[in-house]
Amino acid sequence: MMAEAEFVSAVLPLLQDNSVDVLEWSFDTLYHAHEPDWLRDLLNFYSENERLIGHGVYYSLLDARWTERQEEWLKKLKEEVALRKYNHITEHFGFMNTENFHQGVPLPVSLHHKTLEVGKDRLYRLQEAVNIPVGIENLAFSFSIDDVKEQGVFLDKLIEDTDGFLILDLHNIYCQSCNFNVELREIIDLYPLNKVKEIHLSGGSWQDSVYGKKPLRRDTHDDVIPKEIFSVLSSVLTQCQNLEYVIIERLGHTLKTERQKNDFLTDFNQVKIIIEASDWKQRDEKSWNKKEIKFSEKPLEDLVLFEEQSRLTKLLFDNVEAKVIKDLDFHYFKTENWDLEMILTAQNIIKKWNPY
Amino acid sequence: MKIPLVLMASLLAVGVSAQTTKPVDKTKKPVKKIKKVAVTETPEKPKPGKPAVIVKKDSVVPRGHGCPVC
Repeated sequence: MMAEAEFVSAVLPLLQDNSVDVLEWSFDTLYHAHEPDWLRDLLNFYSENERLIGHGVYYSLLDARWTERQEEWLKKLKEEVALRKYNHITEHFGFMNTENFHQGVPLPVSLHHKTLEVGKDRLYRLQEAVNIPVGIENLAFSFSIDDVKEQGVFLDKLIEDTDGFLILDLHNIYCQSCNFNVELREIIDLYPLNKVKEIHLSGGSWQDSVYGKKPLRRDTHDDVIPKEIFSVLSSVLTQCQNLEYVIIERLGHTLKTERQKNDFLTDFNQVKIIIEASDWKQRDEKSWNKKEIKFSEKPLEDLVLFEEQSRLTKLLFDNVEAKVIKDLDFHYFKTENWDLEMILTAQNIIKKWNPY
Repeated sequence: MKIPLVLMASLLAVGVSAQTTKPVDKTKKPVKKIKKVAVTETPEKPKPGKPAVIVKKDSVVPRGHGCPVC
């Protein structure tokens, strides 16, 4: 669900037909802004009918430092789940490490026992704050093919102690498939599909290559769902035995023209047809019980990792040449294996979201 | 699951507002010719400029549309 009027205008036919079974709401995007009455009422209606799920953006699961900002985020999350009933909540893989957190972008980290420990610590605190299941979404952006192939394993290890679940964002995987020349199916099969409770579908855009290779795929949520995703969707639904929700993501301001709106509705209906043809809805829902987890009162921090996360963010923001970044010495980031194009892409994303 | 009528009405109003917000008509309107009048009053004091927005650490800056994950 998006708060823009254009989004409401585009999805009105679906709401009028009662075709929207569940809403996903990024509860932390309006933490500091006014929630319009119509949005409040709509979210409350879906919540009262147990059809609302939450999707966080700003917690920063793999940030090596624990700050007041994360404390505040958890406090506000508790207030939000006390106000509305969410069936579950989710967050993104990655860290957002900038001086001004709200202007950050999530960046990936490689699997390492220390990064895993930090991620688990953050997830414990997140799970402790709520009495509903917590899941993590795979990230579209990766610096190297190693990270692409490792993300499924990393996520699986992250959620094991909390009995958490995964969001499998198929467009994020499509981006990796295009940018690293790996078959979509090959990457999907690297994920623990039995842990997938939610699937995200969306479209994106192409960005020109600086190094003269083929264009890069970006997860910009501003276009139709690619046909390659539709071609695997049915089999993925069959493989994800614990799947409960399929969400189509689209930025509100990208649904302005009649054509954009019609294309969106066509996508929605096509997804519905595929779902209805699958055996997904006939499965039994898995029950969930909150696990009791013991963790230290003091949040885990790793100052070396924090310094590297900060240094990397600054290098990317300062537009330091990609080849120079590749040659730098990091302990936690294997920059020598990074793709030059992806370093430039990270710089572009940071420029897009970091106005200072 | 049927959305209540009152809620649906407010959503329709939001949807209609999105559709009716059109760009400003660019057709030129005829300009009335007005005689120049000599200004005899004391000119107004220049207004102070708009203060620059200072971004504080860990503050919230509205960024328009979208989410940084995309």
